[in-house]
Parts: sequence; C-alpha cells; structure tokens
Amino acid sequence: MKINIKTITYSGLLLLTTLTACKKSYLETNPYDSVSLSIAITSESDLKNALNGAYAGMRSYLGFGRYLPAKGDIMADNVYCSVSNTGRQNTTYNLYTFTPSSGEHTSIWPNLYTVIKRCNQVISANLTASANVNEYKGEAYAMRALCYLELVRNFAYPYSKDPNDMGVPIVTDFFSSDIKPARATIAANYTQILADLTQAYTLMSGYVSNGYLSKYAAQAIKARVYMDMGDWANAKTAALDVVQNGGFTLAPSSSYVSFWAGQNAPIATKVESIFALVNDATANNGNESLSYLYYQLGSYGDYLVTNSLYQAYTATDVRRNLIQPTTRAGYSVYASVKYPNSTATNKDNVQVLRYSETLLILAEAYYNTSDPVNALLYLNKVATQRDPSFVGYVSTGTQIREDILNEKRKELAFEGNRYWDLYRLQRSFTKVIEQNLGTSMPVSLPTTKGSRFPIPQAEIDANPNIKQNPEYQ
Amino acid sequence: MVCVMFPLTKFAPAIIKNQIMRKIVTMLLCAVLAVSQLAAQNRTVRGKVTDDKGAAIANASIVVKGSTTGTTSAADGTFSITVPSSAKTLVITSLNFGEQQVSIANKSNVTVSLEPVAANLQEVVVVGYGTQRKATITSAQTKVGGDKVENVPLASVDQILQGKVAGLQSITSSGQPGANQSVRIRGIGSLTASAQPLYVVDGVAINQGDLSRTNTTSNALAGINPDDIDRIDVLKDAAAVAIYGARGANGVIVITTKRGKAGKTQIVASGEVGSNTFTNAPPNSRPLHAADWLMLAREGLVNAGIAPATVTSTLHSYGDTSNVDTDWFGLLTRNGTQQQYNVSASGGDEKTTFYASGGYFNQEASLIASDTKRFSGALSLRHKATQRLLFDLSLSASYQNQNSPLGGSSFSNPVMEIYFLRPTQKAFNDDGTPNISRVGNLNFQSGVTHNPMYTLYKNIYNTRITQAKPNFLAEYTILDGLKFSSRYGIDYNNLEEFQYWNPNNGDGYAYNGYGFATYTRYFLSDWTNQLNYHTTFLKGDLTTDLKVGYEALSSKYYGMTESANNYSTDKLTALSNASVYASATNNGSDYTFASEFASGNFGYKNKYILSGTYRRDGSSRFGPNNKYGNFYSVGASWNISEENFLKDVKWISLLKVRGSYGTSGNAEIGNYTATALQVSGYNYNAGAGTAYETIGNETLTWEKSKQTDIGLEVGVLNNRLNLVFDWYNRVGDGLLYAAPVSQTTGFSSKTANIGALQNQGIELTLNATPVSIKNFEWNISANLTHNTNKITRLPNNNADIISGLFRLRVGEDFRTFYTYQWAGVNPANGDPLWYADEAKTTTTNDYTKAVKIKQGSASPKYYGGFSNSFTYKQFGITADFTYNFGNYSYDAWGNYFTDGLYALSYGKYASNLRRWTTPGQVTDVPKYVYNTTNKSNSTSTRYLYSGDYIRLRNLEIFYNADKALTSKLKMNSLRFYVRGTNLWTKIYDQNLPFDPEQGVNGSSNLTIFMSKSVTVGLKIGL
Repeated sequence: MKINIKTITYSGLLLLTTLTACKKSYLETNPYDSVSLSIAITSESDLKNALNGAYAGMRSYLGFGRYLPAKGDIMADNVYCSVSNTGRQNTTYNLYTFTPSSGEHTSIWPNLYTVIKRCNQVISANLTASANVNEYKGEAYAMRALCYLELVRNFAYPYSKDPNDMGVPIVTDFFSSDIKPARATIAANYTQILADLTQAYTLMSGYVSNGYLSKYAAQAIKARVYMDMGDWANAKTAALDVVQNGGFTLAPSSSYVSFWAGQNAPIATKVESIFALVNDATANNGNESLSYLYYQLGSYGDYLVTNSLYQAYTATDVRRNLIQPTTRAGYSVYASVKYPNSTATNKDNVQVLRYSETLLILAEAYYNTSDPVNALLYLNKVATQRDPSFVGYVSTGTQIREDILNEKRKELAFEGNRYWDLYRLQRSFTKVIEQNLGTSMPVSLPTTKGSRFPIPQAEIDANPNIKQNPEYQ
Repeated sequence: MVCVMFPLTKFAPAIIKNQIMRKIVTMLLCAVLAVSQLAAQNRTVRGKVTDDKGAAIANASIVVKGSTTGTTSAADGTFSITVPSSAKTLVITSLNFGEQQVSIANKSNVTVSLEPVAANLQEVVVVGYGTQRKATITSAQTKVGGDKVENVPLASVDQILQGKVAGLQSITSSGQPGANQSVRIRGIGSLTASAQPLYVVDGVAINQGDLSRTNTTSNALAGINPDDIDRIDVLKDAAAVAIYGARGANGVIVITTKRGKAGKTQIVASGEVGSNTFTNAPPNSRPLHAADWLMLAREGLVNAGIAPATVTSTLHSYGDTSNVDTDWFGLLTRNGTQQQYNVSASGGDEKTTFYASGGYFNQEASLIASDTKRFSGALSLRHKATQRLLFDLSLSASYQNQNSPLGGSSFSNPVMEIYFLRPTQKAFNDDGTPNISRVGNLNFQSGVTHNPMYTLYKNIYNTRITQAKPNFLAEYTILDGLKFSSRYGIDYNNLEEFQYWNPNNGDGYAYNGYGFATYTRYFLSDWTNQLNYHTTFLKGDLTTDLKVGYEALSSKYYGMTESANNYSTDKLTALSNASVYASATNNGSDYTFASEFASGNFGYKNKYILSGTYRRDGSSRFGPNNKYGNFYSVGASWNISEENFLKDVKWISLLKVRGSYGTSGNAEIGNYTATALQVSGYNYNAGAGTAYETIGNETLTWEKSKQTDIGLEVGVLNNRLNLVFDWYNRVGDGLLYAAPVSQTTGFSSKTANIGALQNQGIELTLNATPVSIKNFEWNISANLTHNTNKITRLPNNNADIISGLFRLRVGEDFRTFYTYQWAGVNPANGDPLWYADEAKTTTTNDYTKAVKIKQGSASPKYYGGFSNSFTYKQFGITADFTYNFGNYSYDAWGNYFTDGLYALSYGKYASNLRRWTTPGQVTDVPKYVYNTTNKSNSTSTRYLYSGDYIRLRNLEIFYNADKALTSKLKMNSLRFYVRGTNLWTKIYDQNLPFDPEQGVNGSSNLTIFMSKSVTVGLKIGL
C-alpha cells in the first residue's frame, strides 16, 4: 500500500522533472523555409541562389518589372492612360502629380535599395574566387550599377543640368541595418556606377542567355551611362565594343513581330535582346506585370498609344504591327501588342537592354563627336532593318540628332526609354492626358514639377540626413 | 485491489507510527469492505432534506461517509439510500448550503436541515489552472454563464460576448458568418503585436483567430458550438492573468464546456429558424441610379472642358440611351436563411456522469455567396474510479463549411462591386442570362470589373474546417487536500480551402480558369501536470490553497498550397482538370512553450485574503539572449461585509475591496522573427533564389505588462442591487514595433521591443432587480468601461511615427487619426478647401499646402452594454444593447466614389448629388470635374466620421411553459422565443457611409454587411 502512494507521488514528481529536463531541445524550433544568415552563403550554389534572389527583386513590378519602364513612356509623349482604367499610375504618372507619402513612385526607392542589398550580399560573399564566383559577382556589380542609374535618374535632376546637385545615397556594404546615409552628388553616383560596371566587365566572361547580365551587357549599360553624362567619346568606345565584340544581331524584319511574341522565355541567340528580366510560369508579376498595363485581352490594358507615336511610323514599318487599332471605352484607340503573353503560361519578359539601343547610342555618339557619316550608318542599320522600304536617313546637321531620337522613340516604345532622352536633353513637349477627351498639358523637363520624384516620406522620416527635393517641401 | 488504498490513506495519519498495526487495520478494512460488498448486508435509509425554514431542497447530494455510495434528493427533498450495515454517517451537501453530517446509526429515517451559506461565499469561479471559491478571489474577473451564449444566431462565442463583460470589447468588422473577431480587454495593449486575449478551452491554450490562408476570414472559435459551453470566465487583472505568464498580458478568456450532472438523464432539444437581412443602408453612400450617374458624368465632362461632341459620344458609349439601370445593391443582397438545431443529453450517477450533444448551425449572410454551416458534436465522461481517482475525458469535434467571397481590394469582392460597378452596366442579357460580354461600356470590359451575377454563382471560395479537441484529465487525491492532476489536451484544426475562378468572366478569364487548393493543419498539444494543496489552520480560520505545476505546449503548423490554371472545361472545378501547374508548395511553422507555475491563496475567516502567483516561461519564439521570463502577481482582498460590525447591517449583503499588482507578457511576436534569415522563394528564371529578408533581432522577446487593479464589490438588499467597480492601470513596455530604418538598408523597418503604452480606465458593472413581485420581475444589467490609452514611449527618442492614417505620439492615444483637415467647399467656385495651418485660420485649395492635424481616435472612450429583462408569469422580454462612444471611422474607399476623378470608371455615392454647381452655393461636396487634378478626394477628414452608436444587439420575447403544461406534455421544460439581432441601431453621424462596426482600426474595407436577424425558436427539456 505504501508503495502505491509513493509510486504515484514520485512518478508525479518524476514526470515534472523529466519534462523540465528535456526543456532545452523542446524550446528549439527551426523555420522550414529559411536558414540563419550566418550560414547562408557557404558555397558557389548558395551564391548563385542569392544572385537569383537579386534578379527576382529586380523583376518585381515595384521597379524594373513595371513601375520603371511604365514611367518612361507614359510620362513622355508615347502613352496615355485610358478613361477606363484601374487607377494604376493614372493619378501619378499620367497627371504628373506626386506626393512624398504615397503612390507607386514611393515603392521604387525601397525596391531598388532592396536589390542593391542583395547585390551587396553577393559582392561581399567570402568565397574563394573561381570562374563561377567571378561571374556571379560580376553580374551583381552590373545589377547594382543598373539600380543606381535608375535611382539617380528618377530621384535627381539630369546629370546634364548640374552634376553637383543632389543625387542618391550610396550603400555598398552588406548588413548595415543602422546606417542613415546622406545624398551623394549626381557626379559621385555616376562615378560609382562606372566603377561597378568596370568591375563587372572585368569579372565576367561567360554568356548564358539574355535572362542574365553579361560582360557586354555591362558594356551596353556603360554606353547608356556615358550618354547621360554627355561623355560621347567614352559612350562611343563602350557602344562600339558591344557592337564589335558582343555578337548581338538585329532580327530580320520578317520575324520582328514574332520575336516579341516569343519574348516570354530567355533566348541564347543574342538576337535583339541583351538583357531582359524573365517572367517564367511561376515566378512572374501576374496581374501587376507591365503587359497587363498594355495588353487589352484578358488584362487591364489601361495604357493606350498616343496618336503622335502611331503616326510616327510609316505603313511599311514592321514596328507598326506592334500597335493595333481597337476600341476601348467606346473610343477607337491604339493599343500596344508588344507584350502579348499576359495570359500565357510564360509571361512577357521585360526588356532592360536591347541591341538597337546600343546601336542608336553609338549613332548619337558619332554625331556628337563630329562624325555624321558613321552616325547615319548606325542609325540606318536600325531604321532600314525595320522598314524594308526605307532607303535610310540622309539628313545633315542637328537634324541627324532629331532623326536618331525619333528612331529611338519608335524603336524602344513601351520599353521605358523615351522619357530619359527627353530628360537628359531637357526638352519640352505636350503630354497627352487622354487622347479621346482631348486633355493634355505642357511639360518642360526637368522644371515641370513631377519631373523627378520626391524622396519617399518614409525615408525622410527614418533618415534625418536625407534632404527632400526642394519642390516637394 | 485498488479499493483498499483509500481506507488506508484515510486513516493513515492516525496509524502512521505502527506499520504492523497499519497492516492489520488495512487487512481488516479490506475484509470489512470485501465482506460488506460480497455479502451485501445492506439496509435502506430514507429521509428528507430541507432548508432552515423547512422548504424542500432538491438535488442535494447524500453520500455515505467514507464511501462512494450516494444518491440525490428528489424534487420534494426526499431520498432513499441503500447503505451497508456498517455505514454510520451520511454527508449531505447542496449548492449554496453548508455541509451537514447526520448519524444513521439505529435510524432508518432522518430529516436533515441545511444552513444556507451566502451565495457569494459559496460560489466557485474559474481561475488559472483551477477553480476557487469566489469569496477568496482577489482578482478582477467576470463570468458569463452558458445560458447567455446559447441559441444566439452568431457563429462564434467571442461575437456573443460583445457588451456583456465590462472591459471587454468585441469588435466585428465583417458580416461574413464565422468571421474573425477582434477582442480587446482593457484597451489595446500592443502597438503591432497581437492584442487578442489568450483563449483557454478546458485547460488548453488553443490556437485562435483566423487560421485560414486564402480565405477572406475565418474564426477558430467558430468551431465551438456555444451551446456546449458551460461558462466563460474573463480574466482581466494581474492577479488573474499573471499565472499565464508570457501569454496573459491581453487578458485570458477561459471557456469551460459542459459536463453532466448525476441524476435523471436530461435531454434538451432546441431549434430555431429565421432570416438575415442587411442592417441598414446609409442614404449617404447609396449607389446612384443610372439617370443620376449619367447626369453627373455629363456635368463632370463639361466641367473638365471636354468638347461638346466628345461629351455626347462619351455619354452615349456609357449608356445614356440604353435604359439600363442596374441596382447592384439590390442584386447582391438577399434574405439569408438562419437555422440552428441542438440536442443534448446529460446525466449519470454518483460515479459516472456524461454529457453528449450534437448541433447544426447554418447561417447565410445578407450578401449572396456568403454563408457558413457547422456540424458539431461533443461528448464528455467523468468517472470517479475511486473516491480519490477521477477521470475526465472529453472530445468535441466540429466541421464548418464556409463560403466567403474575396474581400478588400479584390475586384471580385462583391461589396466592392456594389459600389464600383456603374448602374449602366447590364447585369443580365435580354434573355435573362448573366451578361459576360467584354466589349463596350455597358458590359464588363477588360479585367477591371466582373459581373458578380455570373462570377459569384460560378466561382468557389470555400473553406472546410475540421476541428477536434480531445482532452484527458486524471485527478488523484494523494492525501486529504493534496491533489495531483495531469491534463493532456489537443487542439486540432484542419482547413481545406478551395478557390475556383471560372474561365468565362472575372479573375479567371485571363487564365482560362484558375484553381487554388490549400491544406492547412494546426496540431497543438498542451500537457499540464500540477499539484494542488488545500488545508486549514487555526481551527479552520486560516484557509490555504497552494498550487504548483508544469506545462508544456507545442503547436505545429503544416501547410500545402497548389494552384493550376487553364481548365479543360468550365464544367469541372478540381485542379486535375487544369493543364498548367502554377504553384506547389508546402511549409511549416512551429512554436513551443515550457512553463512552471505556482500560486498561493490564504484566507483568514473569509475576511482577509492574500494571494500570489508566479510563472516562468520559456519559448521557442524568444531570442537566444532572452529565452526565459519570470512573471508574478500579488493580490489582496477584504470582505468587509464579513466583519462583525457589518454582520448586523442586514441591507448590506456584500462589501468587498480588493487590489492586485503583477506582471505578464505578450508572446505573439512571430515564430521566427528573432533570427536574421536568408529566406527561400525568391526564384528567378526557374532557378531557386534566396534573399536576406528577415532582418532579425537576437534580443527580441515578449512584451511586458504591469497591471494594477483596485476593485470594489457591493451587494445590497440581499444582492438585489449588485455593483462591481474596478480601476485599472495597465502599462505595457517593451512593445514590439517595426521601427522604421532608412530604406537604403534594403529594409523598411526592424522589429524591436521598444514601445510603451498605458491603458488606464474604470469598469462598472451593475446588476439589479428593481422590481420583484408576485408574477413579475424586472432585471437590469449594465456595464460601462471608460478606457484612456496613451503612448508613453516610442523609438528614436520618442519621435512621432506616421503610420497610415494614424500618428503615434507620446502622450496621445495609440489610434489617433492624423490627417489633412478638410475645410469644406469654397461657395464661390466649388473648389475643395483644406486648412493650411494647425490653428485652422487659413484655408487653401492646394492640397500640397494643406497640413495634417490631430483628430480623434479609432478606439472608443466609452463602451459596454446594458440589458433589461422583464418576466411576467411565463412570459418575458429581454433587450440587450451594446454601445460605444468617442471613436472615429475612416472611409478608406470613399475617394473612388466621391467627386469626378473617376467619373466614368465607377459607380458613385448618392452624396455626390449635393455637389457644388452654382456660385454662392454652400455645400460639402466640391464641383464635379472629370479627371480632376485638384485632389479633392485625397485623404482628409472629409472621410472621417464619428463612430458612436447604440445597437439593439438582442431582443428576445419568450414564453416558458408552466408546470401544468409541461407535465401534461410529459416534458421537463418548454420554451418558445422570438429573437431579433441587430434590429435597431442609432448612429450619431448621419453622414456615416457604412455600418458603425468597422474593426479595431476604424477603417472601412468593403467588408460584408452586418446582418439583422429575426429568428423563432423552441427549446424542449425531456
């Protein structure tokens, strides 16, 4: 009997103690989808995955995936927002009304710095150098350069206005969660970008597909950067290197339209595209994608093509087939079909660097370095390829530059390019707000308010060292 | 053999010194017992139990002392018991009466008169890890009886608690049946972590809240049939919650389910049917008819300077000659069915009792495609294996089948469609079929809007929740007063969510049909082992209750998601009919707690009570540098009415003061937020991708709370009037806040234990019976809470934080709206005006020059409920009101439905008809200009409304059949009732565009309208 009491009492106490004893491991649980940062990158494949993470951030619609390329056309003279729209960027981009506290533009800043953080992680990874490690780090350098270029373009005045004006903060260290950096000058930003591109060019040697940044992609970015800076000698060198050594070609005019329809998978043929962000069957922007803004069938189709752009093409220009007359909100309108895969399994990739852009930069570089013959040569390489009936430009003087810009507008329409040509040249134009209602407004870049974005209020609030662009104060 | 143990321990103290003697006695006792049982030398004793005035007491317990043999008294107080010839004494007990022992030696008939004990001294209340006599309580807590929550046409018990408990706010934000509910006890105690109380069901701290992943809303508590609930105890102050340690800071709601009672088997069956309709349609936000909408569209275009020919062609394309005038509001709302049926059986004998029930609940919201059905069952068995060993097993299970259309900003949110769709969009073709044409403005162009009359009937938004709560308790009395108990409980939730988007119209069009299948499992196990010791000293004057225990809790989440699109046919919905696999993932998330707890309660002569609790918590959630936390409380109370100087004051039946102080925590900080993590899933070009996206904070730990409470309880005129008053001061510190960091870091914020909040308030509960005469009784119960919330510390040296529409500033209420101050409309030109300075002296029509000004809070200053009930003979009427005052609500979607910016895109509020049209006109709606750039509809106090309301939550008229009728029908009881829910609502801001109940943050999100229900029911006891 005594045993019974004791047994039960002691077993109770034993129970308490055993449970207490196993406590240590009982209180350890591990996440199923993440590893501790301290052991995150210990091999080449870890590095590759971290680099993929950076590309994924770049693909996001908050930046290169939509907000950035959309701006380049709708804030210029190529595109307007339909009267029937889903409110996407209508009240901001289409009307040039921006506030620091809200709107799509406030997401661009954190998105680009998030990609920069991921690039910084790849660049700073403590792995023994190898061909792969160099390649991955080179891609990260090039990607970081692209991010900084978009930051300084969007949030600062053009380099051509005053290189010593406020640019954006430069962050190149990884794991620095307590920093509060001030804005560097525009010149310092461009210096940093060029340094990254030189690193990228040096480190990279291989080529996989247009889904990844590559040696000559870095060089093509460099040409764009020198173009912004008005450093045409260097722009020419960089662009010429791509043209002569990159191995890229333009598509024959007969297959130009089908090239775009096929741009929902990466290509390794080096035709047309130098670098595009891949929207595959599962990792894509869904209904927030760029194609949803343009394509009318089964997507939003808020963005329509201005009459002036449509009329800029000749009837024999193959590029005009990428714009189709249709009806929207009761009006006869023009809509872009450059991105026809919004409802396909694989979604449209977003073009970031195209070979024709490099050719046209090269043409403009020759023009600006007093070589009109070569300027027309490279301009016509693009122009005659697109319009088989066209004999080529024969202009002289400043008309050459206007022809280059006009060709660039037609060539890179809906790819987010147009605004930046107008911006660096500080041009004025008429912005169509709604073609069918006949509403428009005059824009002078960069003085019209809205030409550069406000620094997001969230950054101003968290970082006392940052200064707002004065027109938003 | 087990039986012999008990006599032994019973007498053990007397014979402890002599082992031989013990053995002999034991053997003798064994022999006696064995003989008495085997030989059955029994006799019968009859008797009657009465109170001190001679009135019969029914259901009194009569037990042979030292045995398990017993019976209960009949309705007339009589009993008959067969006792062994050795039996000497009977022990008679009954609720609210003192124990009596009578000798039955040489007697076969006894009359026992029990002395009444003041009810408030005898009543037992539920406390953390046990029960306790109410008289010895030092804490602030409120009980809600099971009778208050049964047969209410609401799916979950937390909804029913609204207005019933002082200090407790239960906030509905969706009329979806089975929607998640926000409950706040004594204000909001957290800045960003969950402020929900801990729910403990039969001793198990369950996983609560919305466990679904793709569904708009669901509620784990809706899996419990309120009819199976015996009682709910809401624990509020530190003395009550500190024993729950790191999880007690937001209060604890302890739910105890029903158990059987010994005696005749009771069968109760109830059923009710009724209907649910939309609560009210505020005239201000009524969608416009086509004629008005077109008239405004024309005006907007003309005011925008559009060429007349374009205006004409535009309006034509928008249907000005089409005669289409669709009442989307009318099409999407309905009379929903309300049904509830419950049947239960309970009973048993002195050794074994049982309770078994089955229930069916079916509610259709006032919005089409929104409903829930619940099938539930519960079984509990309580078995006294011996006088010292008790087993309690219970199993409740339920299955919910819920349809809840997408909410919020989804274009297929039917509530959004009510407002977004234009009245000139055709719902049906001329042949009566739903219109899914995509061409032209009368139809449903591109992906923007859908025809809900098609999609809501074709699409599926379904959640099936299976819930089971097996619970096993063994209680062993080691010595008199010393009990060991072990409880093992499981809380199992299994959710199967399924969405299907049809390929012909709506979200699925672009994908040729889309299907999503989600499987979620939560398995929680909670094992508690504890020792309870009760003893008395000083001849019974000093009572001591001690408790020590250990609890190990583990919760495991497991989830699978798959989605696919491109369906082979629109006739089938399963994913196997789709050809493109879009995603297939599985994931998990776990947490554990390991805790020790102890408490002591000491009472002297029922007058002076002192209590204390201690708990030590460890959790997997806490960072490595802060793994364990200690929590404690002290409390004291003085039952003044027990003092001699008040004993003779007859009109005072209760006077008690109490006070407590203690600490607790809030551990809802996320399962893996403490560690910096490289997270998978950032894939690119079919390659696996990772990214450093969990910033981590190794010092992250629970939020700390310190609470002081002073309470006063008064009962006068034999408790005809009862008053409970509490003052509390609840200080939360180390509150989690995602402190903004420079976005150049690649993060937007870092969560740390940095904030501090204070909730100070008073609670008042009044229960009174103003009239109690023959055949008529009037009962009042009312409660009022006044809470003042104040931020006391913020990150970055108390820098203000702008968080959406709120400003967080030290010294101000946590939910203080801070936005641009609307200054009305300029009568001269119809421009919108805002104030350009905080003093509101100058106005501007330039939104960028407007300044933000502090506004009121989304949290009410006063809230509570009051209820009146009248009974006359067999008839009665009960009216329960809930109210809250001093809060504001923001119309987060109003910008789309007001003014001309989206004049051609969306439907519009009726309030636009008041727009400015002529110089000199004084109105509050600006000039209607299509695609206006004047920002008139930007965020400002124009969309902020007072959220004050009083709502008739429940109105019940009932009839309880009298004995004459019930005995004729061979029933124990019969009740018939008619009940109205949310029948009447008084709002104080006539412009309020939506229901006054809009969630904790006072921001509308186009959620499903609240229902107004009318039900009739019948309840029969057999």
